[in-house]
Amino acid sequence: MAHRLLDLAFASLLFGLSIFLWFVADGFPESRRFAQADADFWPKIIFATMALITGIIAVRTLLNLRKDRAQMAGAFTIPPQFRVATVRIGAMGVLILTYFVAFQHVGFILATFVFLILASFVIPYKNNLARVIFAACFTVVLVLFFTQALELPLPRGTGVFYDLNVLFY
Amino acid sequence: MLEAYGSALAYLFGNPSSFLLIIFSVIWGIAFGSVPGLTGIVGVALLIPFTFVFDPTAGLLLLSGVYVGSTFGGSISAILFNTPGSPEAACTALDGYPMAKKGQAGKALGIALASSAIGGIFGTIVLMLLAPPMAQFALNFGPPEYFALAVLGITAISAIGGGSVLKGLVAGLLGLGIATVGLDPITGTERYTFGNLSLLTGISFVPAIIGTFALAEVLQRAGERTSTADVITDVSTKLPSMKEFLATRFTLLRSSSIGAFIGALPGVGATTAAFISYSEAVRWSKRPQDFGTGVAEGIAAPESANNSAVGGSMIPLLALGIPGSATTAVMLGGLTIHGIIPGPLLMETNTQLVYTVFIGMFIANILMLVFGIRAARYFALVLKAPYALVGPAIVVLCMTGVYALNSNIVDVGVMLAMGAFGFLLRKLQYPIASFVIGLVLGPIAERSLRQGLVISDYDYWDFASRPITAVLLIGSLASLIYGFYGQWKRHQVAQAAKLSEG
Repeated sequence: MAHRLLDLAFASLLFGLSIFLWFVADGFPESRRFAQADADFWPKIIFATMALITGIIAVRTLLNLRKDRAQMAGAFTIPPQFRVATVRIGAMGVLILTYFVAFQHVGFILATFVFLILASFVIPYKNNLARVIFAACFTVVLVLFFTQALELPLPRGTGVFYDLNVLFY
Repeated sequence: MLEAYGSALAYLFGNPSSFLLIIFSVIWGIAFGSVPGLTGIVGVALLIPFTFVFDPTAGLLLLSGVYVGSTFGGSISAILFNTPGSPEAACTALDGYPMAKKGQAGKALGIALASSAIGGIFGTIVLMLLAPPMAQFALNFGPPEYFALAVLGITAISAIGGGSVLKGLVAGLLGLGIATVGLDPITGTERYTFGNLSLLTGISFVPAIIGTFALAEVLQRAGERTSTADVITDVSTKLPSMKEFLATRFTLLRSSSIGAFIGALPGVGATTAAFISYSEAVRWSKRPQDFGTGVAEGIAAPESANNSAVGGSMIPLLALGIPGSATTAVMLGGLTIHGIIPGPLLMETNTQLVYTVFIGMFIANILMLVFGIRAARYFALVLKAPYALVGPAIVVLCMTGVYALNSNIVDVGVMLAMGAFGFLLRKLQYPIASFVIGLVLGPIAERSLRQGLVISDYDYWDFASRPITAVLLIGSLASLIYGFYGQWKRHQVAQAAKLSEG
């Protein structure tokens, strides 16, 4: 049932989004020269079709949901393993986002090293020493590979972090 | 022609270092192709300055060897980590990774390797024998034909995934919709940028594909119960047996032909060839619902097509001076540095160069078999490490590779957004394949449709009645209807089985 609710929410969201984007396309500047195949031509086809199909999916899901509710006895509960999985996925997502921000401001070396250690705690694993050694080695290898072997730039961060990273590459 | 091949062989055996160059370039190409974000284009671009010290023939051998190796290299990480190393390997991940998760990683790699070699050799033979006439035929392809070709690929969307047809269509439309972000290719109007300058160049499909596959996979695995005990074990590349090979012979032949043909069309390339070939494999299969669960055809089709497209894309480059793909566009730069001007006269004035490259690519495809097996073994060692370490490392590698592409942090942001979106699509059972097909083929479809309409003065009949366009569009419509009919029939059979059980 949780799955159907998510389905309904997603389909409804896409339905609303399609209509919104159709109207955004309608507001694109017009070109006299290409009036019949203008900038809005293709997006309108896509989003009109998407609105139609997601509308059908939403209605169908709603009907199935009502059928499920009628058949279900007892309260709707979220199984514990689902909660654990959600927490882990959420944690990994937050860490990745934080790494993305740190990547730019703190620089590659420190951000990568810390991320590799923290992210390894999300998935169960006991060897803490291996975590630290792997994080250090992998970071060093990547820095050497990209900056020395390939001579491709890596983010250096800003402020004092920039000065620190410049010492290395 | 025989004289030309004789001269080419004399060059190769007279310069044994050429073989070393081919070996090095194939290994370099496999390495670059297998690292997400780096791709064969970067591998070729990095070697161009080094070609200064070589003669033009040796330089071109070096660059074409990288192209051959990198096209296969992407499939290694696609199969083992669900992380396509290059865009043309995205389709390989759709069946390669599920097959690996079933404990058949060695088999998946073997199929990918053998298919790549067969496709590559096929494409090279087409290049050797048919370069000038194919180049001339490719010139008959105008915008209406390109549009019809894109439609051919897109119409398979409904059949992919085996589940809800409507969800398949929505996923495809999402891909098509996202591809409209940026500047309109015809009028230059800003579309869906909402004032954000970073979106003016649109959503680049390399970061999008890496995010959709790799990041979504890491998030998925983070939520699973398995920790150190990974599903994929005991990886040793096993080339397919004769029986397995014969079971996929029609897929290999069809896909190699599609790859060589599409590769020969200017501006299209191996990625499009792989996707269209995968679409056709689904369409022609007796069990299309099995695609995405780890079937041999799902690996053989894109791998043979993308490697065959390598040979195909050299045709417009050498015969017309028009790059057949992004990688050959970079190679064009390499040729220009040496004062070589590709085009119709090249085959007459530089016969030894052209035919030496043909033979060199043939040898490179064979060497790819040898080194591909070894490369897969080294990658497989990574699987012995716990996913708690490998998963975050994949995230770091993807972000670094994508950043290194253009030194643009926006690409990384795109990758992350697509990762979250891809994860959501997976959870809600919207087929990723359809989404990626829409993303890749959308720009070609739109640009060609509108250009074609402008050229035909908005006469839809004139647009659709061109012979090649008409054939492709009718074929697409017929197979779309057949696909829906097949789905309906399977549904009826399932319903009947349910009733008889009840």
